[in-house]
Amino acid sequence: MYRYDEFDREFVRQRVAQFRDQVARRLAGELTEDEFKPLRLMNGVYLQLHAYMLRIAVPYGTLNSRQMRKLAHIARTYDRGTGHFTTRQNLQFNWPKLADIPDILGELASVEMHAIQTSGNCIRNVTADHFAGATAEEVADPRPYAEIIRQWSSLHPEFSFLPRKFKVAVTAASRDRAAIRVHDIGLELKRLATGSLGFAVFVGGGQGRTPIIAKCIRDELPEADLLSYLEAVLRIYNLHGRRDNKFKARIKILVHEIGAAAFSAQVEEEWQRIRDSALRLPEHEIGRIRAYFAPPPFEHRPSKASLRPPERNFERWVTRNTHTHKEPGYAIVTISLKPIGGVPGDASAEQMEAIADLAQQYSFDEVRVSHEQNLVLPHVRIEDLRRVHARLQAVGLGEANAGLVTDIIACPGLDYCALANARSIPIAQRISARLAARQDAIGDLKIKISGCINACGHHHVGHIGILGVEKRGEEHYQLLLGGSGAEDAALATIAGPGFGPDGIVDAVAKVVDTYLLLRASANETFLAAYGRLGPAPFKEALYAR
Amino acid sequence: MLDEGSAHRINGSSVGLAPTGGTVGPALPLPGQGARDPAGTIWHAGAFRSDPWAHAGEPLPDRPVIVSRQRWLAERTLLMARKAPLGLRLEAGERVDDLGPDLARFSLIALAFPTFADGRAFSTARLLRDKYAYRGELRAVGNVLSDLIAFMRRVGFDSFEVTHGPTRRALSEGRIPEVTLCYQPSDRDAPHWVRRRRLADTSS
Amino acid sequence: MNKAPTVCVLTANRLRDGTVVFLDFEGAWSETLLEAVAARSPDEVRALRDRGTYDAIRNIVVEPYLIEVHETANGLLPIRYRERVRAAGPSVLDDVPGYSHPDPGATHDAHAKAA
Repeated sequence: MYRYDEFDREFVRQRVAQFRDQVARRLAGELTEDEFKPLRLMNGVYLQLHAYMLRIAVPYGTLNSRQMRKLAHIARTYDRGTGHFTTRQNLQFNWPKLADIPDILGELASVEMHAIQTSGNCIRNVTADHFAGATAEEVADPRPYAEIIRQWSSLHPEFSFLPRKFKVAVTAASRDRAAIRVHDIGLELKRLATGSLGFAVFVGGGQGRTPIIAKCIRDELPEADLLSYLEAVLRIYNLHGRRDNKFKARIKILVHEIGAAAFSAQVEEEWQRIRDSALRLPEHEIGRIRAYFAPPPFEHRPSKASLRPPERNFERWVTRNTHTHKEPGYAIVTISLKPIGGVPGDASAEQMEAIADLAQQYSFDEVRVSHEQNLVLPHVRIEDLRRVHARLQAVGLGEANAGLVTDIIACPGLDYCALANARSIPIAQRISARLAARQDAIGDLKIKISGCINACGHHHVGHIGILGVEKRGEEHYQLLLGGSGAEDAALATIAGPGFGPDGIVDAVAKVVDTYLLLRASANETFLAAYGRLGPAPFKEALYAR
Repeated sequence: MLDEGSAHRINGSSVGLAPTGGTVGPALPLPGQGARDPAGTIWHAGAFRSDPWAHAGEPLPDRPVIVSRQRWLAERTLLMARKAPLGLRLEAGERVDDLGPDLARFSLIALAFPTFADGRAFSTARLLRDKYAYRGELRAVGNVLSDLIAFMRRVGFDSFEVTHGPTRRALSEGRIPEVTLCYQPSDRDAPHWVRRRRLADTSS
Repeated sequence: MNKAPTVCVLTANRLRDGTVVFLDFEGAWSETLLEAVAARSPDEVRALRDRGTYDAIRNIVVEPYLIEVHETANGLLPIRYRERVRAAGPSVLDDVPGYSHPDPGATHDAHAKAA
């Protein structure tokens, strides 16, 4: 993974010092809240429902054990012992004191971490496939490019006051685990017709109030042109994105309003002008960054056959939570942060430390945050899987439910978030408890829950999506069906009238029952069955009578 | 620490900056850049100065005057005939692409920042310096605050109209917050592609 | 804050640590809604709002606002659901049937319980 050099360390040091000064000035009353708010947002500090919230950047979701231990320490020392992993591969702390935040940032800086640009109208954390560098499905590791984009976008003087936030995602695999088609810019690393590496560029995807699937505005962009092209896109957006209405300020609205072809033409014109400027990526620079992501020293020997008798829980866990690694003898492990009935995406300080140990001992000191509020150990030897599983079980993280109905994505919702209209966590907990016993029979089913229209739970792209709203002062939940955030991207559609907090749990159970009843076979997934059957039988089950 | 030579050391973007101590390119020289005046509103070349520019009224005074884009387009011929230096003020979002060759006539271009959140002028500044090779004084007006000035310099502004008290103090005392390391490449680092630069290393 | 006179309390977050606070009878900021001073007349409401603005300017609190409450036998209860959660803290369930606790072998048992 990328290692800071002296430049990077100094950059973060200065940034922390700058924010420390800004906090001091705020606490001394030299800055008003109106003046301070945009500054604290540039450092990832929100004022939420109960307290401040600090969002820490985990660049393209990659961490080492030292960093994970530091996060555990911060959770324990400055917060209430837990951290929450988000759908953009970041980490959130829910209870930091403003006065402590400069110290927290100092501690993060000591392990090459920060909270820069995790909020505000700037370019946010660049996310990538959480199986990058480990899966055989990719043409090459996309993370070097994510790192290049991260550096270029850090405190970019021209793009720090965009009309709205800006999110970039990169994938390199045929299976899109990074949901690039619902990002402001999505990049698919691929082999160009010439044989060299390049990108398909998608622009204008997003969720929230107006969910839109991104348009491909350039099918082949050579890798050397990556930054100049992005700069052209951002410049057009910065100049022409709407600033009159917060809910129409994302780039997806601009692309939608002027049309993808017109947008693409404007980008093309600006890009041709700057293509050969200093932004052109030389081969040696790409190589320099790529060197940080060289594969770890795998042991190239076949794994030993296990002689111990098969054990049901372990077998289930291997089936669900491990994924084929490009290197024979290794596996990619998903650590579910969705214990049955638990808070999705949360990890205690003890759990973080256990994971740090596992990463160090069994995964070449690397752990990833997925887009689905789980963690990943990317490089585990197959013969170590049993030990890893046992250690995970010991800390309550052994649930074999990756991708199952209990592997729910839920935003913090009204329990934590000042923007929310309804709670999502207790809904997730109850759905999980209700369906856990049947989860294996149900199979692949992604439930995504958002507590407000901002869609941080990604409900638009859930196989089953739930949107919490406020109706006549009470919580109310809309049910959506048939979405997908993968390469078959599609927006879920509303099933019908909404439900109360109890009703929504029953409704999800009814949808599941209907699927189990009508599926062609145990091999037909929910999404496939929904595609075949259409919404009608589900609506009938939900609303008839 | 800002001083006379600071404009050269202020280097962060892939564009050149107007050198200090006078204008280059436009035909009409200014009668000084504005006298040093601690009470002046214009921060330029390391000091607060009185503003030598008037904002256009009726009739046009026979001294440096700043006109709006609308006025320039409406009275172009008349304005071109004037002897005194001419400046242009652009509101956030106003086009420059149709002004093309005329841009070089302006000794000063002022770009407005209407609110903290409106960052359009950052891009307009870069286009002026980079695409249109504007070499005159580029001034930030409106919402000019301490925490924005470093970004403004890097995209090519070399003067600032500052009325916000704490920002004026910060400028006078050399306390403008900035991170001196830049990740974004600059054409001034040719021929070697160096992606980052310490601002302090750039010699004038 | 219109139509019939409603009962309001003033709430905000403390600047230093973000804690949810309510203005109490003595004009101090209390962490519990139970101690909040209730405004019943338009003048009282105005006074409360002004106090919020004043303490924000004095950098004691941030984002002060008024919330409407019912007066019940057990004390003041916010009308809006959101404000109830804000006053009471996260409602995350800790006794969900089938919730598996972090101890060995609990996972499988939890499934059995939930069936």
